[in-house]
Amino acid sequence: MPDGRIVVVTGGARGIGLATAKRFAKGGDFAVLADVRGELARQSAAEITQSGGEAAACEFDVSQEDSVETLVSTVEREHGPIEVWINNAGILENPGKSTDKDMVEHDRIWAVNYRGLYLCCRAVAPRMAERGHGCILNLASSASFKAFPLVAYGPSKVAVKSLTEVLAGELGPHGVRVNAVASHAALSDEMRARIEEGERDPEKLDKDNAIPKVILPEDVAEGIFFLCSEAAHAITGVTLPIDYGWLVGVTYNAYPK
Amino acid sequence: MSESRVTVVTGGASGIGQATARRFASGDDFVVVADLNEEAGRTTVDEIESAGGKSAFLELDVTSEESVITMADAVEKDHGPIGALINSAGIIHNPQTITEFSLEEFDAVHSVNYRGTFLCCREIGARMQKQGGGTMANIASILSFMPYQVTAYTAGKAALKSLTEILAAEMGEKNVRVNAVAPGYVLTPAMKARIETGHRDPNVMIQQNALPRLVTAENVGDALWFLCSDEASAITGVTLPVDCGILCALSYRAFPK
Repeated sequence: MPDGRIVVVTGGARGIGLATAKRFAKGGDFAVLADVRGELARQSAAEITQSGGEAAACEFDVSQEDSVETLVSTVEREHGPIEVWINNAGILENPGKSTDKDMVEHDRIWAVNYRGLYLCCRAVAPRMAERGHGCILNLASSASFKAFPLVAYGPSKVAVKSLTEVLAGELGPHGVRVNAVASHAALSDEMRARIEEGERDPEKLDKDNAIPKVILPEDVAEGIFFLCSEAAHAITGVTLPIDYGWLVGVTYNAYPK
Repeated sequence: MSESRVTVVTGGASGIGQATARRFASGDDFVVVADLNEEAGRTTVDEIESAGGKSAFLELDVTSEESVITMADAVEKDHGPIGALINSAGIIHNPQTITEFSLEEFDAVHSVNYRGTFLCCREIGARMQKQGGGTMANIASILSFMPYQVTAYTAGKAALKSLTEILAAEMGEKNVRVNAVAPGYVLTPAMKARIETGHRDPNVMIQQNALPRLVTAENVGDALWFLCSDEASAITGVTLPVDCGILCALSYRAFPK
């Protein structure tokens, strides 16, 4: 059994998930990179262990209830009780109209972003509640607070914020904290891929950020690490924006002068 | 001149301000305890210094523009540019309806809680922008998010959340971050005294929280320390609840079964 806390990061093979896994490993925790991209997860876990951290990889599919249950029981059997669970697995969407939406893509986004996260919470929360401690951390979004032409992604992230609050109310009496972070157009690997495909404009990633900088996966990882630390002992049910002030800038700048 | 970051904590002589002053001093900041209460302020400075920290006291009346400017001038002259400002000076009042509430008391609460914070942000925010950066944090409240029977206090704390967002948008370009914390029921020395005299029942307060405990002043100090650190460099314009989940739990438990 490892010395550090056991931290599971879904979608941990790349992007914000990998930056988060690295941040926890740097803090002395044991990071489990759980991802549908099994080979990538193994490579990333090896990268962490080679640089002196503790990590392991697990292949799983967040949209399958059996796969989620197997992940939780396997991690606890092989490594020990899960103290922190980061629900990072998610997929992006390109802008469009509801009338044009392909329902297969719509349902896929909900199956991963909301239902998959819900399945993970359901599988791990009873174990944490029985032990009387634990932390669940969800990846919400600026779309949890504001409207975008992202007809599946946006509502799925509003639902993630709501579920965070419901579970904080439900699990608080058992000593389990549930929080979320909300970033905006972070330069993740998935975002890089969409930029390379010409689907997103890199010049616009920091548009309307109050502090004119692009959000990096490492920025988000620091906020996640704080919310899952002892310093956040009294914090539950919050969705913390990590957005260089986009949420405040987007309306402030719209004032017609 | 101080080699450490210079942090000013208004209302630093008691409660959340005092715990915050201690937390920043233990992180190696030079902490200016700025308070109306000289005796308690000097005692706080002595305690910080005997614990190995660096600190100084300055008398401050946040209701007076002249006092705020004099304080900022004195800090810059004696210790150097202000890197962090914590606006913790505040007063509370008993529950009253708007028709019962005297205008004198409304003016007193407003001039400290909202207008005093506004003056400090204005004066020190201008200096931070000129010096190329800085970070400010306001003490909002869970009442920034919910109606409550302390009329003037609640409306003022809601206004502080709004001010935090406006200033974050206004000052972001000059690398000044502006955030707030929103504490719930906090076990400050003043609250402990009210519990001991039977004016407050800790069990009622604990039962309203999601997590079965009360927020400590140190919990709030830890959150403020994070928000003012480099780890939070992508975070601005947020109001972070530090409330043991009361904001989620009140409505969660009120659902009629």
